[in-house]
Amino acid sequence: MNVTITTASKQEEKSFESDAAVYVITSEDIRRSGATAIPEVLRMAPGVQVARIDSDKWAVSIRGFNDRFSDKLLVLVDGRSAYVPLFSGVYWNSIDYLLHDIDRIEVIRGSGGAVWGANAVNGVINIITKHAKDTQGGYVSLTHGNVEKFIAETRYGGTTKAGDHYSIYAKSARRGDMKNLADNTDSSDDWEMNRVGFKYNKNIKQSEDSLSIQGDIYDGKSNQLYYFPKDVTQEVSSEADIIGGNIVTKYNKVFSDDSKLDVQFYIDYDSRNITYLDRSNRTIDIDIQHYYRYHSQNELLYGFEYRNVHDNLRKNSIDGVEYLVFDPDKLTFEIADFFFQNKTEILPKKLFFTLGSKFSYNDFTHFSVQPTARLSYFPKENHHIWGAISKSVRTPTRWEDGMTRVTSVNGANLGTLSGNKQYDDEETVSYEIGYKAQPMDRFLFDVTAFYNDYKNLRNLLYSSCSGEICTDIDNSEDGESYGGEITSNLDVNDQLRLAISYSFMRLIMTDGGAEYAENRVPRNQVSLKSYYSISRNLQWDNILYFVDNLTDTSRSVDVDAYTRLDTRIAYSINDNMAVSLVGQNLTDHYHQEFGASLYSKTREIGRSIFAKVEYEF
Amino acid sequence: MRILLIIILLRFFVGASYACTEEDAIKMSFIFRFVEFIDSKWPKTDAQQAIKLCVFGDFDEETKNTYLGFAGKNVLNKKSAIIPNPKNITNCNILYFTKYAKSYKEFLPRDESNILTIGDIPYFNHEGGIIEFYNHRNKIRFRINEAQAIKSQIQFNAKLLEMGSN
Repeated sequence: MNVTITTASKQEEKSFESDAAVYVITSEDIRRSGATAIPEVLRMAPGVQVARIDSDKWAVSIRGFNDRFSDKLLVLVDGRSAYVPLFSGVYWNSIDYLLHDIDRIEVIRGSGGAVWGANAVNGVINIITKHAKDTQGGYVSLTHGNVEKFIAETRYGGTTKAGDHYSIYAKSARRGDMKNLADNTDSSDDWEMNRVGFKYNKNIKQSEDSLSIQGDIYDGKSNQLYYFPKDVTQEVSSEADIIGGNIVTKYNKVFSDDSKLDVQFYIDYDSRNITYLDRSNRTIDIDIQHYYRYHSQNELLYGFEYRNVHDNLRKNSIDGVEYLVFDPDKLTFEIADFFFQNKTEILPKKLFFTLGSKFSYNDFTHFSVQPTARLSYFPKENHHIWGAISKSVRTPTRWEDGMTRVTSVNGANLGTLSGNKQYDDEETVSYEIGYKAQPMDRFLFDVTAFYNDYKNLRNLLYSSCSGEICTDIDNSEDGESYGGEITSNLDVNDQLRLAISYSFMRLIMTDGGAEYAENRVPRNQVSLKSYYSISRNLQWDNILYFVDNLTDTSRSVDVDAYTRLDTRIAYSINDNMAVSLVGQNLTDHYHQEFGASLYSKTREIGRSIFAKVEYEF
Repeated sequence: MRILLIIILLRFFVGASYACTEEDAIKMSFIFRFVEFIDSKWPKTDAQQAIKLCVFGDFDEETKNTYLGFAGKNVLNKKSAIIPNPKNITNCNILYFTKYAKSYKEFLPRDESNILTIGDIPYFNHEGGIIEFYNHRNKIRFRINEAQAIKSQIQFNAKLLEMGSN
């Protein structure tokens, strides 16, 4: 239960010792959840809101402000940022990795700004794939079900004569539609995705140094039905082409136990042609950090990052109206930052104090500082109390800076939502406190509480424009949130393991919240997990979720509370082969989890039942 | 000469009730456009009955005529009736307190009334009004007090408030 993590402080530490609210989804958790997509796996983490929008879209956030493009959460895959600078959100349908080869998902709740930079206001999710030495040999899996129409995965890993490890994979998936909330018809939002990737871990002899290079290429299609403001009775069916690829290289040099250097470089390209927007994005990023223990009681981590983003946002015209226009339509922008983090051991093994800050420059709002101060106290072994005060910043996205989107059409007059060139950073001061205890190997208890003070949040301003209603944005909204999460794991015996997570939070906006973000947070969330190894070959795993309602009654995100049961039965036929049967969302035939995505209708999520066969050689 | 002086002085003392017809007309049109974003069940009147927009203010003739000019206009498949400064507000569907209105606080809030309250007065939202007009950088803007809208049983069509979402 005490896993090694790297995301909380950008260096290796045990999750128990970390002075942050950490939850680790292990590779076994991923497997036994029966989930087929990363957002579905995230449901079990406390403090994380996961709401499925339709077949291939989710709204995922930590501690509030959920949206398809939730902008206060940073998501990384092996240290590479998975978010799209356009909307500061994640296209979950393009990080459709081989779940079997994910080593763990580190979920950090709370401010990660000092270490990871802007947009890690409420949390960081880092999806870490296995080292090639752990993905040796062959793996094939096939899944088929009513919604998961077809998933085929294959991987082969080997070792070269020089002792280097490598692994290559391919995955092809097709998923069916959900249903429309209004009339229960099929929503025509099916999806398909094909991808290949590789990882190469070089063995550097006679040293602890390491070098790795990995990459993926993907190509898929996402179907969608749209209803545009000019004529909402007319359906426009469209297939979005999704293409992308990336290469990530990492080099780690160990000078001594007290000095280590990490260099990471990546290139990421993705392109998506949606009916109203044809966009592509290219990111180049270099990140260098140095760990230096300069004193027996002091460790310093410091680093520098430079990112260059180029995007191309070509508008499309539908029935004579350009629904989404960006100014400028092509932009190259840069981000540079420097961070440091110093950890002092005040009382040996008992009391630690960390002071850190990130100093950033970005082309939109120029300079920002994100400091953090953290205290860690171990009153006795296996008990840890920690607290932190941090300031984090959320920088403007391309849409907030330069978008004009058509929201209503009245004859020749267009109502629009516009960006604002003077749009500023959002600033959040967060106060967190936590207590972790692992009095026995088989029992873990973790409780955290937080209070966030938000300033300069996005506010919508309505005005009259040629008889239509136009909306623009500024930073005049403030808000605050408070809440807590409790997690507990208990290994009842060798066969049965139980875990429970409970999250509570309230979000209050000062102005009555023109964006009604406070209404997109379920007040309570519970997950109950049971892993039962009936015999050496047979597993029966269940997760029960309860998600509170999204209380707003006056906008499209008006969602009842729901309960969801996922169950999995898995049987190992022999050492190489296993079959499993999974049922998701068994207690409810169809339910809504969130609002609709842009220019679409609200979908309902139904039961999914599928069978999976896996073969390893 | 003397008459001119009196007229000038009168204007000066009479103050707020001098006409600014263009802005008044824009705001009225705005109201008509805006009510189309209210849930289709509002107001709970028959199709034959008109939507009664009750307008409050200490108007001069010119301003009053600007408002009355909107009478009979089609809105939500019904005709509109403009009632200036009514004594009895129970039949009003919309209460619009123009910037010429001297008193309004006693009319607010109107919980469970199904009545839309609009005010061109600072702090109108704060006092329990649903929509407040204000000017900002030469633009006519409005703000919605959503909490009060819910209490007054006015439900806005998702489309208006969805404007900010992705």
